[in-house]
Amino acid sequence: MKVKNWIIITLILTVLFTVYTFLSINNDLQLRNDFLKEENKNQSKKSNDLKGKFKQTFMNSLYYDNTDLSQKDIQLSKSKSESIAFKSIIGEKNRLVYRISDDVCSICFDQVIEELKKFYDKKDIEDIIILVPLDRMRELKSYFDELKCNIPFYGISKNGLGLGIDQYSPFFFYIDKSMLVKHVFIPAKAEIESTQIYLEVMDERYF
Amino acid sequence: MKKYIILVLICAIYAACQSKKKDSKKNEIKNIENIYVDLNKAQKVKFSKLYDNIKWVKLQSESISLMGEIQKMEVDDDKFYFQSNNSLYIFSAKGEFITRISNQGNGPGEYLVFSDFFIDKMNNSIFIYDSKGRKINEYDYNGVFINRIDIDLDGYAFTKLDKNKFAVYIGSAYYNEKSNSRLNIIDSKGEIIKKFIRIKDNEAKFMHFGDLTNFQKFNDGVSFLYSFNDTIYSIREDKIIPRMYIDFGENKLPNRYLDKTYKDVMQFLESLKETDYAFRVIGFFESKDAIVFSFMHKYDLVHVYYSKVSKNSFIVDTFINDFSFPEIDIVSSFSNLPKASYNNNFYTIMSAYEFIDKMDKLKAKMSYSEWELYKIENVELFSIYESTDIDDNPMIVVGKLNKF
Repeated sequence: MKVKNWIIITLILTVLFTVYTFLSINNDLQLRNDFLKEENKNQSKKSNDLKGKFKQTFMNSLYYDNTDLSQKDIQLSKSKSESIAFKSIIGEKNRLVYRISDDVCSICFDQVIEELKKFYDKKDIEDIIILVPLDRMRELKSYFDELKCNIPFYGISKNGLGLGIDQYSPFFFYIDKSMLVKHVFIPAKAEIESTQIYLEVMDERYF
Repeated sequence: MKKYIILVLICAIYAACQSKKKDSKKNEIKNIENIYVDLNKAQKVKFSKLYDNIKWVKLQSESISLMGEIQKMEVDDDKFYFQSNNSLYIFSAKGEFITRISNQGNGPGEYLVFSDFFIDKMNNSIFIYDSKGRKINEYDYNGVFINRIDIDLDGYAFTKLDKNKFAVYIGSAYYNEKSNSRLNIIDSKGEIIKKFIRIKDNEAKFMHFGDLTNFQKFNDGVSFLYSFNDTIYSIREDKIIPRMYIDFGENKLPNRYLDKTYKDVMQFLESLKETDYAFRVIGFFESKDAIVFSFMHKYDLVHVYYSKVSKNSFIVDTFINDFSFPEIDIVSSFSNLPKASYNNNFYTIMSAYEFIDKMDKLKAKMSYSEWELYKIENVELFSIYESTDIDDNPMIVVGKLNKF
C-alpha cells in the first residue's frame, strides 16, 4: 500500500476516535444521573417494603421493663443557679421523656422534636419532658422560640442518666412514678414513621 | 510527499506543545507548599504559644438575638455575622445585637434553605445561597432584597470571586443534573461556565459532608479546600491551581478507602475510625500569616496551626487557654475550632455553659486568696461570668495571632 493510503487511513481513524470520545463525554453525565436515580429509587422501594414488617416487630419489642432510677440522684438545671432533682419533676405522674444525647447534632433532633410537638399539641399532654445536654440548652431554647413549642425542657450533665446510651443517640423512654424506665426507643432520622408509631403506641397505652 | 512532510510537521508541533504543557504542570507541582503533619507530634499547646493576646466578647442575649446552632461566622472591621436558625444575625464588634435577616419562604426576596452567605464589603451587600431554592439572593445590610440569581445547583457553599462570578461547591450531591463536578464557576446570570473535580460515582452514594468552610480569601485570591482531599487550591481566572499540600506522611489515607462503595456516610466514617489514618480535613481558615484546619484521627479531632511565614506548625490535641483559664485542659474538638479569621485574628466560639463550667472548675482548683486575686486581675472576664447564664448566647474569643 502506498504511503498516501496509510496517511488517509490514519486520518480517518483519528477523526473517528475524536468523534467517539466527544460523544462518550457528553453521554457520560446523563448515564451517571440515570444510574444514581435508579439506585435511589431502589433504596426507597426496599425501605417501603420493610415498613410493614417493622411496625409489627416494633410493636412486639415494646414490652420490656428496664432500669430503676429511684436510687440515683440525678440533678437537672433550668439556669446557672437553679437545679432540680429529676425525681421531683417526675413526682406522682408517669412521664414520657425525650433525652437529646450528649453528642447530637441539631439535624438529628429537629425532625423528632417536630413530631413530638405535633403529638404534644394534638393531645394537649403535659406529661412530656425533654432532657438536653447543658451546653445545648441555648440551641433548644432558640429552636423552641422559633417553633413556638412549649414542651418543658431541662439541662442534664454528660451521661447524666447513666443508661449507657446517653452519648450518641437521642432516645425516648417512659418513666413511671416509681422511677422505673420502660420502653426505651431510639428514633432513626431516616425513619420518622417509626417515631410516629412509637408515640401512637405510648398514647394508646398510657395517655 | 509534500503532504506527508506537512503532516509530520504538524505532529512535531503538537508534540512540542504537549511537552511544554507537561513542563508547566511539573513546575506547578514543584511550587506547591508542603504542610507536613506528623501525628506523633500532636501535643498540648498553650494559647500564649499561638496568640499574643486574646479578647472576650459577650454577645447580647435577648429573645430576638438568641441564636441556635451556629453554622458559620464571618467578621469585618466592626461587625460579627452568624448563620443560625435559617437566618443571618449581625452583631457589633462589641457584641451588641444589630439586626437579623430572616426571609424564609417561597416568595420574592425569600429563600427556602439558608445554606451559606457571603459578605460583600466592597458593595455593602450580603449574598445568601438558597441550595433548595437553587438561587443566590442579594440584600443590603438591613436585609432589603436587591437581586436574585437563579443557579441550578443544590450545594453546600459558595463564594463571590469577582464582580461577575461565583464559585459553588456541591460536594458529591448526585441530584444535581447540571453538574457532576464538586466545584462550579457560575456567571452573574447563573450559568455554569467552568466545572472542576469530577464526583466519582461511588462517592455520590455516601460522601455527603458539609465542611464548615470551603473558601477562604487570601491576598487577592480565593483558596479552596474540601474534606477527603489534601490539596488546598487557589481559584484564579477560572482555573484552580494546587497551592498547598497537606502531607500526613505514613498516616495519609490510602485511595483504596475512597474507591470503595459504602452503604452510607456512617459506615464510611466508622470504617475509617478503626484505622491509623488521618481523614476528613475540616474547618479550614486562612489569615494573612497562618492557616488553621483540623482533621480526624480515630475518634478525635486534631487541630493544626501552620505559619505561612516561618513554616512552623503546631499539631494540637489539647489546648490550655493560659490567658483566661490557666491549668484547665481543653480537648481539641469541633466546638473549639476557629469559626472565622480576619486580618491576623482567629475567632473561636465558646458556649455560655462551657464558659461558666471552666470558670467554676478554675474556682474549685484555686484557694480562696488565689481566686480573689484572679478576680482582681480579670475584672472584665469575671464580670462576664457574673452576668452570664447557661442558655445565653456564646462568647467570642478573639485571638491575635503571634509569630510562632
